Amino acid sequence: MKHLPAVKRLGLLLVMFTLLVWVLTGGNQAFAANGLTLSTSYPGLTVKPGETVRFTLEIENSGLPSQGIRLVTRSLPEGWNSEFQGGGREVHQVFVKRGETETVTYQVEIPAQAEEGTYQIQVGAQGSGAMDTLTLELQVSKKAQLASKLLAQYPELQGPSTAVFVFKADLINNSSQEQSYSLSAATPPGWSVVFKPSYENKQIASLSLEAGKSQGLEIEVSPPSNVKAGEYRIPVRAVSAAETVETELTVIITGNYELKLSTPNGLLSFSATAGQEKAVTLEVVNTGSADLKDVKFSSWAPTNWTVTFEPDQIPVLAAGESQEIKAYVQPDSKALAGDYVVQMTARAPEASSQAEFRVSVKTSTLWGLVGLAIILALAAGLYRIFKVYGRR
Amino acid sequence: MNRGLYVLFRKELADHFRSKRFMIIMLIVAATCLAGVYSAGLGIRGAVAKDTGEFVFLRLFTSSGGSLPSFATFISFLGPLVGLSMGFDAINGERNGRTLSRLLAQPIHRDAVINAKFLAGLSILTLMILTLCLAVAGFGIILTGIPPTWEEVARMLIFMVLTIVYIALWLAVSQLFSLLFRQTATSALACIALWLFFVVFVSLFAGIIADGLYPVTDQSPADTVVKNYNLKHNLNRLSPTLLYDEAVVTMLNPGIRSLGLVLTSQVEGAIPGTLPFGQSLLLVWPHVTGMIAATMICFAISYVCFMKQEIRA
Repeated sequence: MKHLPAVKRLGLLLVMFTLLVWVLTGGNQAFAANGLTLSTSYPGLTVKPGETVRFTLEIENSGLPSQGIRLVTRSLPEGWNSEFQGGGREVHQVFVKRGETETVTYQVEIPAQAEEGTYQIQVGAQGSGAMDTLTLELQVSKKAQLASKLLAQYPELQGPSTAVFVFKADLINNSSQEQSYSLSAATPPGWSVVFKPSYENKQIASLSLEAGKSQGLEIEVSPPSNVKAGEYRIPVRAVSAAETVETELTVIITGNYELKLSTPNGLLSFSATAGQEKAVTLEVVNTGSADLKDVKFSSWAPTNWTVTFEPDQIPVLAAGESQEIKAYVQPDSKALAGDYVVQMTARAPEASSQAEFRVSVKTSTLWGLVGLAIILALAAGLYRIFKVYGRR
Repeated sequence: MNRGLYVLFRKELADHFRSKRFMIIMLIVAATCLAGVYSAGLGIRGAVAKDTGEFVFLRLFTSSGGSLPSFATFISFLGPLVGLSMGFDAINGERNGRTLSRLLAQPIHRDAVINAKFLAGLSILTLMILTLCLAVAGFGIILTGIPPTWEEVARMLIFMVLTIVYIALWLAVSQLFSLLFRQTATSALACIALWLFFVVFVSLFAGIIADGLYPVTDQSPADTVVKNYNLKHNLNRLSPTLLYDEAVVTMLNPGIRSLGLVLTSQVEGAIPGTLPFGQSLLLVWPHVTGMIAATMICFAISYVCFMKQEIRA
């Protein structure tokens, strides 16, 4: 029997110790024996100046009659603002039924000029016959402040030299204050870059963004018409008083191959005498954006005509360059007087161009002279007959 | 000498103008040709509206409207008649009328007689062709309302020169015949026979000869066909009528680029178009040369014959 009270005493001691530990380890989650508890999941936060943070406060009523609980801010650093919110409105009371838990949002606005350091806010829940206090700790750090961003949806676009490249980008003001950004792009000579707000046909040079807001941009990049094939990087900047954000856009110009064969003055007709060689000057222009290699010349001419080219091949014709070549056309000696068609073609592996010439063939005047000589000889003969037989 | 030639020339001209023969021939030629032009002219208005309107003026000479042949065809057919009618009795007529010896008794050179006769005939036919062509030109301007371009004028001038040379050739031939045959009727018949031969029969003979030398059947190689055609064509060209026709067609139709056979290789790559004036002229230059040469040779022969002939009273 004597043992039993000892056991009882040990059990009581254990209960009391447990209670003590529970009380001591309860921390800032102040334990109220009467059953009103004010708590939040993350009572300590690192914030940046100018930020607005929200705490979700839980008010637990354990064992008390259902009642309205008054919410108060007991202490707040100077210049800061705070309010309780519930159901989309500012509230200062919350009704908590017996044994249930209600949540209230506590919003704290940290001023932009807040110094770095640790600040404490005390909020309290006051019921009838019970109360609880919760201390929130905010560590203000400027490092937590995020930089603004300029993000392109697709930073690399590809297309022919005639295309206009439209990049979709977002400019995000992550700072704690409204900023005015001026927009610029460093372009190679001849390129043009135009900034437009999304879905608006306005060209803008600068824009102003409130803290935390973003603006969609369309950046239109037009390459010059004679641009060569290749990859072009265009750094785009948004510069504000406080910061500079930059992103790099890449335009890949796919080369196009074009060739044009003509004459220096554009005249596509000439005259030639049957059976005699005629030199014609041609001009071949690389109108594409990529170099052409092995430009060869060929022709279609009527049977028994000969067409030769000097030179008959151009090893490399750079983009935009032109070169003159000579074509020697010799019509058939039996060609009829009048117009014939001769086609000349400049052909590179990637592109070709054809020029159609109208050749006016003239016949040799040799036989005309022979005819004239016959008539003159006959006239001379007639004159001789006059001399010999006349005057009788 | 020149004075004698001039007197005789004036006398010959007067004789021609007064002769009923000349009037009849002139009337026939003028009436048929102008009728041909008129009927062609009626169709020209439609051609101007329909076609590109290039060389409309020249088409007046070559196009045949309705049932009547064209002006150029009439000239080619009747032109020899004009030349022949003026020359077939030039010398033997005088001889038969016993006026030649009396004429030569005058203080003139003997060659003045034949020269004056030829020159007078040439002048008459020049006048005639000039009148006809200018009448046609004027008629064409009234009808179409389009003045001719310089090229058309040049082509018309060449046409007139060709016509004069063509008729002069027949004049020279008929003068030669009037020397060779004593009777005017004989020389007239000979002239007409020659005319008919060249206008109608030469092509028949050319065909017979060519087919005899290079017979063409369905299986003949192309070479033989070409040779046959070329021989036939060249034999036909002995006829001044064909020479004249070819030359006239080429001059009045600038679209013609070649006469005779054209090989496929020559046509390959050719663009239809008109020839410049110089090239057309170059194309018919052999024809012109041939006709002028034939005229001069005929005249030279008759000159020599006349100078060598005995003139007996």
